Amino acid sequence: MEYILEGIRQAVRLIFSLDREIFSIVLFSLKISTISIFLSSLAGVPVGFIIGTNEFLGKKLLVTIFNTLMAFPTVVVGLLVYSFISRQGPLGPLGLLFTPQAMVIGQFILATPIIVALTISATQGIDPRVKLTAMTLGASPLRTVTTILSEARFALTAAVIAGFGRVIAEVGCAMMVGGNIRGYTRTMTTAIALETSKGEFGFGLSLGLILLAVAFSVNILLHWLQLRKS
Amino acid sequence: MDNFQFEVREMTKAYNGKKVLDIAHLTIKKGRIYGMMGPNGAGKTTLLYILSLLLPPTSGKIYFEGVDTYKVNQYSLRQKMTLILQNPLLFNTTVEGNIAYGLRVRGVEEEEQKKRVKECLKLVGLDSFEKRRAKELSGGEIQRVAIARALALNPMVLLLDEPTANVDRGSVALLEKILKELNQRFKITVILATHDINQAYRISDEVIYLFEGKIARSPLENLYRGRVIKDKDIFLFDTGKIQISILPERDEVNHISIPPEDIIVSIKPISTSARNSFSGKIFHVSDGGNSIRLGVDVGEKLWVKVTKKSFQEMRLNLGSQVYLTFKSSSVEAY
Amino acid sequence: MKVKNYLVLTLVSLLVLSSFSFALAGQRLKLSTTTSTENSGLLYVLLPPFEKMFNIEVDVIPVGTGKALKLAENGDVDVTMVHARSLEDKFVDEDYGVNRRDVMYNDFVIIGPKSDPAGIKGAKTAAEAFKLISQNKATFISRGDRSGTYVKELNIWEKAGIKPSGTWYLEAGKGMGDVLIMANEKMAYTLTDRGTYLAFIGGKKIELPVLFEGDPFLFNPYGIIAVNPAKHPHVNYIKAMALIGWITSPDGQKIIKDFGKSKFGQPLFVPVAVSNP
Repeated sequence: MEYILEGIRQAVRLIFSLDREIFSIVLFSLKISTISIFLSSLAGVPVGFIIGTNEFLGKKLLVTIFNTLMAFPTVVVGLLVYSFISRQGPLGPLGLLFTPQAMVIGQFILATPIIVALTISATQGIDPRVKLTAMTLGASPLRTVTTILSEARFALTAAVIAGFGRVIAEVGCAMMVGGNIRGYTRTMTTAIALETSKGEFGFGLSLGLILLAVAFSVNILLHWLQLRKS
Repeated sequence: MDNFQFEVREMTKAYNGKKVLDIAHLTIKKGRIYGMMGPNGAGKTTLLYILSLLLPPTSGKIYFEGVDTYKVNQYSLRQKMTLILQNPLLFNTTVEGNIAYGLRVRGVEEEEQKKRVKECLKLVGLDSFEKRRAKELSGGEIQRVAIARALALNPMVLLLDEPTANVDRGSVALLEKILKELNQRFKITVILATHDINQAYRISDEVIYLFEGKIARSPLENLYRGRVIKDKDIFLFDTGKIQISILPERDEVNHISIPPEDIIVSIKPISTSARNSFSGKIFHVSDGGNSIRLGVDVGEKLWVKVTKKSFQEMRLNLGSQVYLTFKSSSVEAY
Repeated sequence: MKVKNYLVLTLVSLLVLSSFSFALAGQRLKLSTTTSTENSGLLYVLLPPFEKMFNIEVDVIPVGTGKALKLAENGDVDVTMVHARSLEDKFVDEDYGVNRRDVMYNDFVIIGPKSDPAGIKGAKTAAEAFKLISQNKATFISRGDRSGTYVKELNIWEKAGIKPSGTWYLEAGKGMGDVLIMANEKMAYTLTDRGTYLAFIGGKKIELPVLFEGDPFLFNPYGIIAVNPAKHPHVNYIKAMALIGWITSPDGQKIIKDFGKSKFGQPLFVPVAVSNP
């Protein structure tokens, strides 16, 4: 018990002293996760919308595939990306391995299936009268799409939060494709893994607490944004 | 030609080979209120959708102010009319957000939007409702917001599908009043579908009767379902409650209708060649403009008309026992 | 509301754009090394002067020895620094690396429970100590990975003529830190590099004392090797050579000599490239 308490004490000390290394790690994690989620949403929402609002042969199969991809183990995604971007792999010449860009790619692959799957269910559940009403009020096809998305905004926000939650908290992929390089590709999760293996329980715990706080506040922020928009 | 708001020619609409609309010719004049009457399934909603250019006909032509609507870009035509659904969908935002929707779509300035929203809310009697959440409104309020939302766009035509069907009784009169006012003040052409004939009479300048996809020649009153029973060479239509003598027809008769004006009302039975004679008590009396409308329960409820003079002469009243007589040839079979 | 959307869009665009500011591959040198080397903290003192001098950032990728060499073999890094001589020699023999230089050494120590049930305190050599542990079936935690520490451990067993197996011999498959913690929990023996040990004892993370040290066989030499540009033309060969030059220069070697004195009271490493830096 004392061991844990000492860890918490050290963690609080580190956080309140605004330890530079800790905060640069936190900032970096937030930065790449935000970028990946942005790209994932850009790609995932339209795809999810198209699948969700149309009927076609093989739709059920496609939905099942995305649902399965959602639960893909992060280390496996990491392994796959690694095999592609390592020098030995087809994308080797791009020199992407052990860079933040590689981490964004990995997180993109992890988050997009979630956003697609949840966008599909969000748009499928939308009242068919929405499209009709938008049309009667003179909305162009594009405008009709944004109207439908706006009606589904609560579910879509949840999709983005879910995607963000997955990428900010994963370690398997980030470790493999990022290399956990200090000051360059070290995220909260990979740092926790490293510091804990070094026995630096306090340091690891401080990052863990911050990670929890980040996840919590992102959730609240997105919720607040959604409330205000309406 | 371009005096007409709408003109429909040789129009049919079919689903899976089954015709739901078959209209040879229909004209809608500008600035008038039309009541579209017919039982459920008559095709009222489909016709409204086709006129709104939301649904294409299977064949035939629709002209809007003389323009063939399927030869031009419909986007600009659709901007001149708005259809309000039977259960209007309000967007998940405030009343203001809903009413301003069409304006936002057209890129109207925010200041102007606010102004227009206020005006439209006033027109439908919902002042200060701006910040209310759409999902918290009552049925009547929803209809009014939907109308306000449509009005914000200054439409030339307002099409409404059973606007008072899901509305509390108090709001029915209010809604009818609003529609009449809008028509008078802004000369908006109003086409509303309803299955309530009294409403159709109350508001419309003209009534269109639809039955099984076709325009019927007169209000289908005294409409009953049943089947034909052949008693030797007499054809009887059995509604389940009464049996009506009809002309020899094809066997497949599901509905019959008896025009009220063909029914003779008397206080004593009259001897004529007419085969149908029923007696019953009056349960409804109302003013039908030039005549008095009576509802008489003869086993089924029959609607009849008498002149004001006859009404007085016969000293008719609620509960009076009367005789109704009409010829088999008056009965329309469907 | 339009203004808010605009702001959000700008913020995100800035974020995306700034991602491109992550320095381009040409300005970065990738060095693969072992977790224990990284854990010692030496590199974070040794590298900054070099980075400043040559205006380049060195990415330190800490993995197991096996992976460190594999990364070098694949050309995923430009230079590698490990402490597994036999593997390093093989690496150079197979032409994956060029210009191998000895950098420094630290040593391994055998730690265990204070009570020393196997009585290794009195042993003369590391091999003898291991023999005693095996004979007494005292719990021993092995790295069980392809690390330099593990290679050393296997060498000692080989010298002792023993093939370790049994419930007393536990292969952790983990890094040095995790293994130390495990040994501490189980009150077991293990072989560890002095650097990691000092860090853990100093931080009061473990309590096991050193029971055996000093046998030259336990010396743990570090070597640095540049990835062969003939095999991987894209590697930053010149900067890799510059790094090797720095690390084996009198200035670099002095930093190595002094490292650890202030933190642990004793230096962690002994520089070998320069005789008296």
